[in-house]
Amino acid sequence: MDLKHLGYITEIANTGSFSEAAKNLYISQPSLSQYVQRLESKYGVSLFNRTRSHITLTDAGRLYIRTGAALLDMEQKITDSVLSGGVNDGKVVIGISPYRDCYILAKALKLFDSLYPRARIRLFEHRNSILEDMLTKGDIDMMIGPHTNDSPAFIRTKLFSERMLIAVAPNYWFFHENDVRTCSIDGKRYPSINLEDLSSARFIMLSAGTVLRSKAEDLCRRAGFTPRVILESKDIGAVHAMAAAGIGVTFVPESFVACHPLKSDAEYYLPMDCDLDMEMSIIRCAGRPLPPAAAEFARILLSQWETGAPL
Amino acid sequence: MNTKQYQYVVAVSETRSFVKAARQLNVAPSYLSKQIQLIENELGRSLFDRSHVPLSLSPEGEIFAAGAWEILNAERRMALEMRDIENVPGGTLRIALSAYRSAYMLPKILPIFYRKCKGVRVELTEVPVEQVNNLVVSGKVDIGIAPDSYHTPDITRIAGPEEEILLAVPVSHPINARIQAQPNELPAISLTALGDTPFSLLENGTSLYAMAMNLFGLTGYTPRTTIEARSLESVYSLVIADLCAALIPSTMMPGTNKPGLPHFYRIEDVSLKRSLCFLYRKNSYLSKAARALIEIVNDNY
Repeated sequence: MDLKHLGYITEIANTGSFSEAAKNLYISQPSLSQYVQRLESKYGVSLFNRTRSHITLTDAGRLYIRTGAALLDMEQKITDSVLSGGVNDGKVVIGISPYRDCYILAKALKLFDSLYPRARIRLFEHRNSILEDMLTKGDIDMMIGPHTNDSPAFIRTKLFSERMLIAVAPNYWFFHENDVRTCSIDGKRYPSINLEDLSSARFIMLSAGTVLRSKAEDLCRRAGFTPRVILESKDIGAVHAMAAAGIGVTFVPESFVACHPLKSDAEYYLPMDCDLDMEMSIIRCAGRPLPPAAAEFARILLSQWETGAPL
Repeated sequence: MNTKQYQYVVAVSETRSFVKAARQLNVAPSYLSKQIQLIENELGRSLFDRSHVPLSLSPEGEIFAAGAWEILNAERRMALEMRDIENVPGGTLRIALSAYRSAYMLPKILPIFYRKCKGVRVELTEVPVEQVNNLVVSGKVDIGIAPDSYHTPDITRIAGPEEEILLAVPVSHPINARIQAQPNELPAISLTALGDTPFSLLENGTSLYAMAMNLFGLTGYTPRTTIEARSLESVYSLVIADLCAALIPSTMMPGTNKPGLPHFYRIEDVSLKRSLCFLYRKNSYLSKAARALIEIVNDNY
């Protein structure tokens, strides 16, 4: 199908005459007639009903014009897509911790989707050790997670760093000072406490092997005690809810608090004198360039966290 | 652009070689290479990485080739539809099916088809059943005929005839003399009646093999399998050669009982059937010729 000259056919249809169409198209009438005849013999159908007075499209001719217009559309889309480097038809495969996608990715996903409506995004939610495996195997393009090892196999780009907060039920008895500190993520302020005061507290913790668990244990160790863990769960939402219900105290990252979707009665404190920030990064494999769509998504995500509070 | 140009890109992307693609398209390799270059210049992107053999597609090339393929399909659809709208005889119908169905089913079907659809050229692609689906999805054929079990989500299915799996017994086997031929019905025998007769099976991995194993389990009798063969036609020709018995789909049964041919039996107390279906690509256009073929097959089986 000759899309360049689709206009020839529409012009004949519009004017109802070969000679007039030829005049408007600045070509000779014989070459226009020949052109149409070639098309008609190619498809084995007549595109026009030819009567002495008037020329009209056949049903096949109408279908030809309709299809031609659709194909021109498709052609434009293909060109756009090729020129956008494949972002628009690309696929982004991201790994992230189960609860983190909503606050880290939500805005970037929305923006990306409005810019590249045909691109597809696939999220894999697993704990970090599994995600690192998937990344190494190439099952995901990139992962978003805390900086936990310095393996040269990964390239990290920092998104933000955050503190760990203590979450407790409202009436939980606490020594706390009136020293109020500002958090880094959303500018919220939390009263600070001395972690040592929790040395005999009952702790609720995420399952062993998670980054948050080892971070929490590190914090307690620095404060000079081993936490008494009375309850473990795999799900940070559950851990948080237990704490809010007064079963014990727990650690949650401040980003979790900042975007916790459920109304909760929990109160939050910032452990004093602890510089154990968690650094969240985009992590990808060294030596494996990101596919165009994934690279573009990473760019959008980074610019969101750089230009201000994404929450 | 002209859709020819899309055809060039698709051909090179499928063959991964300018020389092979040119042969397929019936143009000179130098001409093809120049045409591709024109497209690349127009886009300002290179579509192929020619630095190694076989060549590969650039990320842009992948996108372009996928789009080109869609365009060619849309054009093919239009061409089919235009002929049908204007009631023009002719055109082509491309069918994918397994070799034995082609050899045993179509000789009965095509004469009727040609009478009904004058001037239509039929192009047959005989492939193992597992490939029928892919050929249909990739747009290489218009319609596929395969057992109902195997298809992917981008396929639309139309129910086809049922195929009964029969026991074909070599002509010299003594049991043939003992069984009374019925006028309009196939006699049924027990699998154990085969006794020590050698048996031929289609190789492991085929659906007929699985059905056979199932049957042996059900009847508690496993024939002495002496030959495993790759194609159903070779299995059948072994039966014809009076060497062994085998399970043969009813499609292969000759219409009339000519002397010297194997005898066909149903298996007692077991209904061994599989249904066939016609496959075409979801949202593609099923031409009048294709619909006629389906109707004729369903009327005659």
